[in-house]
Amino acid sequence: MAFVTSRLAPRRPAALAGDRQMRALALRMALILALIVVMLLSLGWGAASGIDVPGALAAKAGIGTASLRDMAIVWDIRMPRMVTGALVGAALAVSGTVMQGLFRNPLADPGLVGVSAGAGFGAVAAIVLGGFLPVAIQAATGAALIPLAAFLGGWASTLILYKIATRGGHTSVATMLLAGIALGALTGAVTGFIVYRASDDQLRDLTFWGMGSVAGATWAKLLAAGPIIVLTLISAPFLARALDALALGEPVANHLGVDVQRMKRLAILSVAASVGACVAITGGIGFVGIVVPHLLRLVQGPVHRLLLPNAAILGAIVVLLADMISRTVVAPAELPIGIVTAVLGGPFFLWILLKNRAILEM
Amino acid sequence: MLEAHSITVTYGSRRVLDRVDFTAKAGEMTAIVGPNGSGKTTLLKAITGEIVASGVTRLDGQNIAKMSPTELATRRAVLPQSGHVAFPFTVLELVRLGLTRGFATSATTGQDTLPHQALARVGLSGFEGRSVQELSGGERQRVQLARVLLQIWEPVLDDTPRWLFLDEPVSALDIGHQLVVMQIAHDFAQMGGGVVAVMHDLNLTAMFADRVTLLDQGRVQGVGTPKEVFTDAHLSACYGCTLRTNTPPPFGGPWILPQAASHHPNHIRTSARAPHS
Repeated sequence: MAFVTSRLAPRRPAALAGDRQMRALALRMALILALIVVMLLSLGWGAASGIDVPGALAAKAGIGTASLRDMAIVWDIRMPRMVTGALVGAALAVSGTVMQGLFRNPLADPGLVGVSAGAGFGAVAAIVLGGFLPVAIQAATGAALIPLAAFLGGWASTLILYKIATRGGHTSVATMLLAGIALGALTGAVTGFIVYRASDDQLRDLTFWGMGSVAGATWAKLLAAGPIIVLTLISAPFLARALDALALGEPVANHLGVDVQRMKRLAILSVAASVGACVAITGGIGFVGIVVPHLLRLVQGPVHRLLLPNAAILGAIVVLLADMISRTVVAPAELPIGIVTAVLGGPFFLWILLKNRAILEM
Repeated sequence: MLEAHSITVTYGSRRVLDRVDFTAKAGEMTAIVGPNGSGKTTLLKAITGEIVASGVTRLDGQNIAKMSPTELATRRAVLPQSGHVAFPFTVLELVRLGLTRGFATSATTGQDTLPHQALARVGLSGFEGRSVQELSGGERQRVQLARVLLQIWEPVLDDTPRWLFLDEPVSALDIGHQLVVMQIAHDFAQMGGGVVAVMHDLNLTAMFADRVTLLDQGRVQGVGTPKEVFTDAHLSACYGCTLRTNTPPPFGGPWILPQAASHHPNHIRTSARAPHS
């Protein structure tokens, strides 16, 4: 009898079929646990041995004491580096997700389509040419000058890209990628020219922009760029429903009550601000923005309300792990983290490309 | 009441709509018919606010150009000709996008059950977990209709009618589902809502529409009930072919059959002529 009942009963309650919310939330719990583990590992990972990380953490909270050396290494070197890695990873993954939603295709990525290059150009220009700005402006912007310039560079290239690739509400993937290459090459050339004119001191500052690194992270840099990143992370979920609606096309999104033009401006601003801030403190770290959302969509689907928070967490995990690899492979020297993400992300991107051939041929 | 006055749309040097007046009443289904390129879809886009047109469109007295997207979305829903869905949503996830009032306020009663009711209405119960990108064209069209229905689930809300705009809603459907979808639109109007549909099939139009606007070359060529508008001379002139309108007994409404030109093969001529003999 029980056998018959179980055969007649639906395999899943009808209300759950097609609803991937529970799956997304379960995944989020798992990702949060993984993030905590990776964060602690990141604090304990490094050339200096015998560091009492838990002791140093507890001492800051007033529980027990730790040596000055341990306090300095954990709190002044590793902690800002860990926080930077987590924030940048989250921001890159969320920007990638927003950008893919905005361009309505899974291949958009700030690194691939020249937004990072534009931001890098802004940052390099600020480092080399910042000294020529009126003193008043220099004083007013202070440490925020580089993130600000990176933001402006990223914003300009995103706007130009969108204008070129979108016609009549339809974004051509081929045009977008090709325009991204052209923009990247152009900004790269101008950046190269500025670098060529830079002094030796400035060159040292510039070397890490190309490949990206979280090694130079300090509390001061975090204080300048961190708030921008946090702001864009907090604002991203407000775009979620609009991004879902946009997947059906601009007219449909409009019919569903989305102010499409306003939403697009907001999304572009948010991507540019967050990528600009990331580039300002870590240089270009590629592929996080394309790999993370793609993996998550395979598991939990494209609903942005559920996708964006998980992308932030997984992005943080990926960058922290990549940073740990970059610290290990050629120890005691360090590999720029951008090389690690490119080695891992490049083949992955090719795989997505092959899977999405049909989209590309549109 | 939907009133559009002197709608003119120009693409480059081509005038797609030339001072078109269009009205539709709540509680009725109004069809827009006409040959390819006559401006049907453009008219629908103009009166839903999708494209900018000169002229004024008022939805129950309010100028749609002055309404916010959110406000418009609670008053009318639009089913476009089937479009591309960029990401692999499940059927349920896509239909839920129609919960427009969830856009302004987080919770509405029935958010859990309404999507399932909407899917049942279009005959797609059990499709909830399927990926939209893997459906057939006709199935996808019906999923989109379920989403659109959900957006304006009650045809009358707070004593104000809500409007359903359909752009060739049955073009991708088999004959059985054509009837299902037309019946849904008809019922929506019966319950007090307004329906405006761009139609290709003149016979389905005659069967379900209360009023018809016939367009040709961007101008209105006829307005009235299907019986008034669907005359041999009228239709033949607009569509550029010989059309014969009949009123077969069980249905009683106009029934249009194409009359093949004389140089067509014999069997087509005979079958087209058969009902008149």
